Formats: sequence, C-alpha cells, structure tokens
Amino acid sequence: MELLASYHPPLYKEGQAIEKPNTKWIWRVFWILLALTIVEVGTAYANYLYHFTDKNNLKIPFIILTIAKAYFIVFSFMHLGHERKNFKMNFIVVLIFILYFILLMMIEGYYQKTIHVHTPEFMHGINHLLGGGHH
Amino acid sequence: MAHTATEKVDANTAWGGNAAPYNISWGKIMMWFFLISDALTFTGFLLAYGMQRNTYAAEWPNPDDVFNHFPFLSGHHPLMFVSLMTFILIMSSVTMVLAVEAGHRFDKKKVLMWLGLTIVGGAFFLGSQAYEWTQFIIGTPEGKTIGDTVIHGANLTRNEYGHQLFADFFFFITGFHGTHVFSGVVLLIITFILVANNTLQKRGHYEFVEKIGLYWHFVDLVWVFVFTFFYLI
Repeated sequence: MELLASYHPPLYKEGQAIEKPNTKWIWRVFWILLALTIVEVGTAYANYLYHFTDKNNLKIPFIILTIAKAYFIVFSFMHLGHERKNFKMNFIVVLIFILYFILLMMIEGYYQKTIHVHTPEFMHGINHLLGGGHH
Repeated sequence: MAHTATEKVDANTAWGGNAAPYNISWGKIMMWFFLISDALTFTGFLLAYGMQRNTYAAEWPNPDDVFNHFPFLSGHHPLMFVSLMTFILIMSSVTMVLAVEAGHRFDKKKVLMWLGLTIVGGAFFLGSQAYEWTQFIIGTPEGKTIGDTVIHGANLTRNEYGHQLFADFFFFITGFHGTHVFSGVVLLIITFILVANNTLQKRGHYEFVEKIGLYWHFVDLVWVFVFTFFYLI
C-alpha cells in the first residue's frame, strides 16, 4: 500500500552557504509587544499612584491589550499567520469558545456574590475558607 | 524563508489523499494540538479564578497591596517586579524566535547563541517567581491580628492579605505555569545539547528547535494572561 505523502522540512545540502539573517520583523514585533506591555503596566501604575479612574473601568482595556499581545505572539512568533487557513481555524474557533466561557464564568461569579454569598447561613458555613476569624 | 503553506490549493488536492493537508510535519502539528489542550487546561484554571474572584470580590485583596516588593529596594513598588518578569519572558521569546530563524538558515553557531540566551532568560524567570513566592509567604511585618494571634504572609491554610482562595489560586496557577517554564528550560537544554552535538545538523534540518520554540512561546503566552488576570484585574 502506498504511504501517504507527508511534509518534510527543507533539508540542508552539503556545502550550502549560510544566508544572511532576516530578523527585522522579529525586532519590530518585539517593540510592539514592549509598547503594549508598557501601556498596560504604565496605566495600572499611574492609576495606583493618582487614582484617575475606578479600577473596574480599566479591566476591559487591559483584556483587549492582552489579547493584542496574544495575537502577536501566536500569529507572528509562532508563525501561525503563515499556515493554511484551515489550520488557523483550529485555534480561532477554540479561542472564541474560551473567551465566551471566561465571560460566562465572570458573570456567574458576580451573580453568586450579589444573590447568594453574603447570607448569614452561607457565611457561617464557609467561615474556615476566609483565613479564620473573618466575620 | 519560503512559506509553501501559503500556496492556494483547492480542497480536493489538500484533502483528496496522498498529500499533507496542512503542509506541516506531523511532529509540529502534534505540538500545536498539545498546546491547544494545554491552553484549555489553563483556561479552566483561569475561569475558576475569575468566578471566585467575582464571588468574593469584597474580601479579595488588591494585588498592588500584596505584590509590591523589589529585590534590594525597600518600600512599596507595586507592579515593578512583575513587569520585569514579563519583560524577561518576552525577551526570551524573542531570542527563541531568533534561534528558530537561525535554524531555518542552518546557522548552527547562531542557534546555539540564541538558545543559550533563551535558557538564561527562562532560568531568570524561575528565580524571579521564587522570589515573588517567598515574599508572598513571608508577608508584612505587621501581619493580621486574628483573635489573639498575629499571622504573617500567606500559605495554603491562612492568608494575611484577604480571602484564602486568593492565596490558593495564586500558588496553584503560578505554580502550574512555573512548572511549564521549568520543563521548558529542561527541553531547551536538551535542544541545546542536540544542536551542539551536530545531531540536528546531521538530520539535515532544525525543526526540533522550531517545535520547542512553539512550546516556549506558549509558556510566554500563558504568562501574559496570568499576569493580566492576577496583577491587573
């Protein structure tokens, strides 16, 4: 039975000359990642020092910046941007599910807090989790 | 660097048989699939963290009040040390990509150089994480008074800073990530030895470096999310 053809990476030929490095794009992505990180940390630190806004207002911008960083790491450094579209879809679809799930669980947590958690019976039951002697 | 994967092929050529549909080697695809599964594992942990953090938002400590140490400096410097850790890990990701790129050009010397720097970055990150854990466990000199005892720091049974689950999640998730960094460093050292021994040169291609590179970038990617969720949100 004929074996399926499989992919082989390009092989080294004896005496082949070593090409010059092609690294400009790598350093460009590095500067982008550094800028995104500095914006994130800088905003958080400035808010810690000067309290120009409530912490909750910063949460969604932080998540957006984090996803931007993730995009550059996955599509550029991991070369996913150069792969076939079908292969990329493996990850993009999974990512959408992950993000939706995160959102759902955060909403669930908020619901738990407002509806259920701070009734006296419940607080008594989980007292040992609060580091002792909390309430 | 030729990217034959970006040639347009029709569905029948790709999936009709006797071809590699994604035009990538089997080993690389399996590494990608492993990374997806690992990403879902970390997602599960971060989901649990997100939910509990919202449930107990009233008792949840503010990370700026907990993680504010910096080596050799006194006083409170929130976010500074963890930003340094993030920068080190991003740098190690950059050196990893440079190693992979050198591998594409069969430039053995450069591969060794960039791999070595990546290993140093990873080891630096592990040491920094150990410092962060130590400061968290030691706690503040004032501590928290409970009844007639004063507790300092946080571990799996008590937390001076606030809700117990904060400490539990911190140790578990950063510990799980740290384990990945550690195993990544071990794999990088193995890769370094394979390159130095000419094993990959004899094999004719440096794809091994590329697969380990994928794992290392995944470790960096997870850290980006862990850093955001624990320290900023």
